[in-house]
Amino acid sequence: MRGAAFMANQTAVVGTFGNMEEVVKAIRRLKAENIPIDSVYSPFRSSEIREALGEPSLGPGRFFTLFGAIAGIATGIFLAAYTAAQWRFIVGGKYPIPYVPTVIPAFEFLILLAVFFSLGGMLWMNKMPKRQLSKHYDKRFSQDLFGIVVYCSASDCDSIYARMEQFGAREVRRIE
Amino acid sequence: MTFVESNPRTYLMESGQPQGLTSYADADMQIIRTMWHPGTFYWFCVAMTGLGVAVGAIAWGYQIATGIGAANVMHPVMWASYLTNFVFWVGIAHSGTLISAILFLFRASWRTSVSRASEAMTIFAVMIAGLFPLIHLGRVWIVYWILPYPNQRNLWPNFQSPLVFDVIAISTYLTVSFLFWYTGMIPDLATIRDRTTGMKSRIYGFLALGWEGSNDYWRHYGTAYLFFAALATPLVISVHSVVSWDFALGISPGWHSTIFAPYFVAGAIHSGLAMVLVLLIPLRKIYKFENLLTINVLEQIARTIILTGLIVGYSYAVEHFMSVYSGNEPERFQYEWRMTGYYSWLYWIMVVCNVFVPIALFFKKVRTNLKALFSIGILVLIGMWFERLVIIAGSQAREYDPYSWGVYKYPSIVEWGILIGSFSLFFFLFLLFAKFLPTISITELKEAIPPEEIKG
Repeated sequence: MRGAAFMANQTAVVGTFGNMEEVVKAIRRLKAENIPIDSVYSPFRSSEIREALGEPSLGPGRFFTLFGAIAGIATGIFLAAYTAAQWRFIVGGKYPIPYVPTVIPAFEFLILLAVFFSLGGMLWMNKMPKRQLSKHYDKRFSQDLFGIVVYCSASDCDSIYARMEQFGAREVRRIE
Repeated sequence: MTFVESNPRTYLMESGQPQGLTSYADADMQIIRTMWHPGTFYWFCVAMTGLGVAVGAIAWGYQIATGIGAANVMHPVMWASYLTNFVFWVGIAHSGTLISAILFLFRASWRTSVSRASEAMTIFAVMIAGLFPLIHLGRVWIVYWILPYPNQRNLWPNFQSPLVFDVIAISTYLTVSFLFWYTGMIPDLATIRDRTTGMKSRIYGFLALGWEGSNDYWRHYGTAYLFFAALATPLVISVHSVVSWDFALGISPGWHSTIFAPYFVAGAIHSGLAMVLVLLIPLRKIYKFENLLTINVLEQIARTIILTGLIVGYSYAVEHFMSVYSGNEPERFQYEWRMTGYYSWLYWIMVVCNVFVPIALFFKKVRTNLKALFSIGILVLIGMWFERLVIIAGSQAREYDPYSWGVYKYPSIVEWGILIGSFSLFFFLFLLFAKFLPTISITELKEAIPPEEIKG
């Protein structure tokens, strides 16, 4: 995957494929020829595409979740302990901050903040929300077609275009 | 050779996967068409449930104007129908996230066609459950007192109280369930955005947040969704456990028991699954989803109801056994009184509906008969509502001191109005959901279509 500034000035070749088998084959052949694939569009989540691209099953979003979970535990314990400390209602010489009841707020805040951070991580990494869809995107990619985007320089665009056709693309577009 | 290898087609039908879809576009067509032309019967249902909501609103308005005495709530039974409704609706809320999250983690194929509607059920049920503490407060305009902030004397709500646990747990559950539901729907909203034009496209586009569906999008989405499911699963268990502690941390006979958390969780799932049947069977018929919500899917839900019914039955038996075995006299008296006292008719209806009726689901003929499934769903819901009332009102009616005994006799007209209003609001919201949002996950449906079924 290349940087956004680099891609903004690049021409892209977008190959459109009709089914999973075709697109997975094309990914494998492009990779075999060391042609760097920028993105693969699909109407649903596909482990076949992920495996063909050689991506790990989990993204970096898991670190957002972990951070949220730790922050949640700390928040829950702090809230329960701090509020108990404000009301020093000492009965029978017991310490005003009890341990056991902090477990419930800690657990609930763990879940809550971990979910907030997971969602935030997903939105941040996908640069969502955004108003404009990228110019490579085709509405048919959310219905029944698959797409492969490859960036090219002036010298290799024609050959990539030809490769896409050769690898079974039903339609190939060049996007400036 | 395994069964799956030898009988691939039979396996697909048995596993509850969608049938009759020969292209990915078919999935779009079948789900999206239900959103534009729901038919006259749909609008009739919307009007009727809207009327019910108005009845509930008028009843609540009357209670606010005249005071909580408009409900038949008085000493010693201060928690009666409103708290019964609260616990009932929280229980209903359980199965949605349970079906969606736990079955996702276990990769259960029959989840696909029921998860979205069940999640919606969860959200609406929690919203309605959250109304009942407000209704029960009487002076609803000072509800902000329960929020965790200090008053002028720098006193905070007591975080050692199960009631504060409950506020945190329920609000967390509502927030997490909503985000789980919404996040799962983002790719579908993008699909609808791309299939529509004009204002519709703009509205769904806004809700889809610019989703494009490239490999990066799916990977980050998949990671977040997996963690959502993994976090929501213990949350489901914790929420009704916390609700049960509202009672179990009190010292009333019949409440103060360590079995309450698993007992309430099982009961909640029991009632939630029954509500899933009650919602999905008409939805399947009205929207012609027979190929998606297959009999096999409903049968899987029925099988789970057998399990939860047996757990609930076991819990009833253990409660009675422990009341005798513990040698705790008020406890023993409480359980005897439940079986023979003022609420005994509710108690026996509860036992029959929750424990004996689901036993019929052991028979495949019953499990595959839609009318039978629907009827059993209704009976379990009745049984579970009565169970909440028996537990809540029964224990308060017969505490330790005979001097303070009394009973909650019947709901007042205001309580009936609010009960009708709550059920109407639930179905009203569900009908709106079914009209404006995809009731079955389009992308998961596409994922579930076997590649060999795709033509072209």
